[in-house]
Amino acid sequence: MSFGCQTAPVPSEVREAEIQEQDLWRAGASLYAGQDHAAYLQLLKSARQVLEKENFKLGWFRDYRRVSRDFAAALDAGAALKSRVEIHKSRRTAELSASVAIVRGKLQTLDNLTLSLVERGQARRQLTRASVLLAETDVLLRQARFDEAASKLDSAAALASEAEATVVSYIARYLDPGQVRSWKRAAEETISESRKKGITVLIVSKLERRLAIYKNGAVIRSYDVGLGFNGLADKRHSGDNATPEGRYSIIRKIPSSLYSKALLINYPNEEDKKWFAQEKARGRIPKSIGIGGDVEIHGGGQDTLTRGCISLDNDKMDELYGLVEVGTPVTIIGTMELENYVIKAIRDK
Amino acid sequence: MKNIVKGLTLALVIVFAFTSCAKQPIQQMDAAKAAIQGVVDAKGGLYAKDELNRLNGDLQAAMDEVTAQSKKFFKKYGKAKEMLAAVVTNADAAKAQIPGRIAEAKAAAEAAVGEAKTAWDEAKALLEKAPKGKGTKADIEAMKADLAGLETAMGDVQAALAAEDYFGAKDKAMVIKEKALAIAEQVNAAIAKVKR
Repeated sequence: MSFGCQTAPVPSEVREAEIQEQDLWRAGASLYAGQDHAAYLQLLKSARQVLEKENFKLGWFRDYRRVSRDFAAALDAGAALKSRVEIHKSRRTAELSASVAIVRGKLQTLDNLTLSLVERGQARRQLTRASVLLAETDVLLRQARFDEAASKLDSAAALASEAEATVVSYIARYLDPGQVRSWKRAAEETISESRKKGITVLIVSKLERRLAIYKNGAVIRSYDVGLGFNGLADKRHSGDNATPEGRYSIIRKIPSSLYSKALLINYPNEEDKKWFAQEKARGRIPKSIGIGGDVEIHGGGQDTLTRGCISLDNDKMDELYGLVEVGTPVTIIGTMELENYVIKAIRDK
Repeated sequence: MKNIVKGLTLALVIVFAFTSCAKQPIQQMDAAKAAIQGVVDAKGGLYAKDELNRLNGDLQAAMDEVTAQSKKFFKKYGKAKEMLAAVVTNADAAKAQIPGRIAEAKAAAEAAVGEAKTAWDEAKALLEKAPKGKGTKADIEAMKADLAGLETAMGDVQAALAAEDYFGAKDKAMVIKEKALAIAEQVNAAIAKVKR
């Protein structure tokens, strides 16, 4: 018989508790349940002190039963703590995910808006940067790095708001009730002329990208159209890539052009020339820049961008060409709708 | 007489022994704290998180041992000194691993940035092949703006690399690469539409 040579093995709970302590730290227990975590650590410390006391004894005299009980109690406390931490993290994940969904929805609305408005500048760049930040937020959320995720989300939301402001600024005229009423009046007067004279007229609504043919005051056809690179702006001078607004008429029918059939309109009209002269006199338009011209309605596709012309799909252009004559009035407006789709999209997002 | 001297000497030795053990290991405590701080300063919070956590736990245990001994009449700090020495050794070992981990993280970030740049360059080259000027498709123009937005985001990646935030740089670069690839796909689809 050898005294103290055969020692009882240290209970497995000791090693399990070590692993659990690390797991709880990695799970962020001190962050999400600080007080409970401190209590758990105290329990663990007491259990370790008991273990140390037993280890001081000669092996023959060691009794790890109390050690096993104390570590088991610590393990139970640790498991309960882990559960609380997981609940807290789930709650936090759900809260942040809901916020991410809101920002994502806003970005989607603005993405669709900028595409339909052909906003090719600052707003789209801001949206792209916001979407990068949102994707990074997703990564951080999956890693349960909540504070960093919240910070990235704030940045994404801020950029989305900047993009929204850019879009609103880009289409400010379309949100102005006075301007919209003025456009609506011009369109209604043209339609009234169609009714009274029994003639065909064209109304182009730039925001909706629609060209409508009226005969005897009633719509007989309507088509989707493309506009200039800067189509939503009112044409002011040569090279501004804007589609003009106002009352015009067809002055020439071109059966074969670079873009299938074409209808030349009389831009600049008298009103355009008067405004241009005033702006030149005020020095707001450089002397070297002309008023521009050669604005047509032509084929080539309703999803193309032009230098200010109005483009249709070739088959629709063929149809339109057959329904109009030289002298047919063409009224180009921004929109007739006070509650247009842009306002609705920005309000309802 | 000899016995008295021997007795006195023995008494002195005993008192000396207890006295020398009775001093708190201040130097060792400071060394352990400094060693852990060294790990923190070497960016251990980012690159040696687990080790840092263990070191803090071990230091706390050593400090608890010092506190426990200081309350006793016959203080014995031998064990505390051993624990503190172990903290220093482990902290130095953890600190030694950090440069290698930083180099790995840097290499991974740079690789991700390289892939993002390649994807961006390919999307840009495709867009340059797409029809330009009048007659171009509106969605192609939108993609040019999107790519410009990604270029700005690449600037943020470079800033993260310069700040040695390699994990952040890698995450951002991977997102940019995915978006550039998506743009390239869309450009190809848009070009195919134009050709029809």
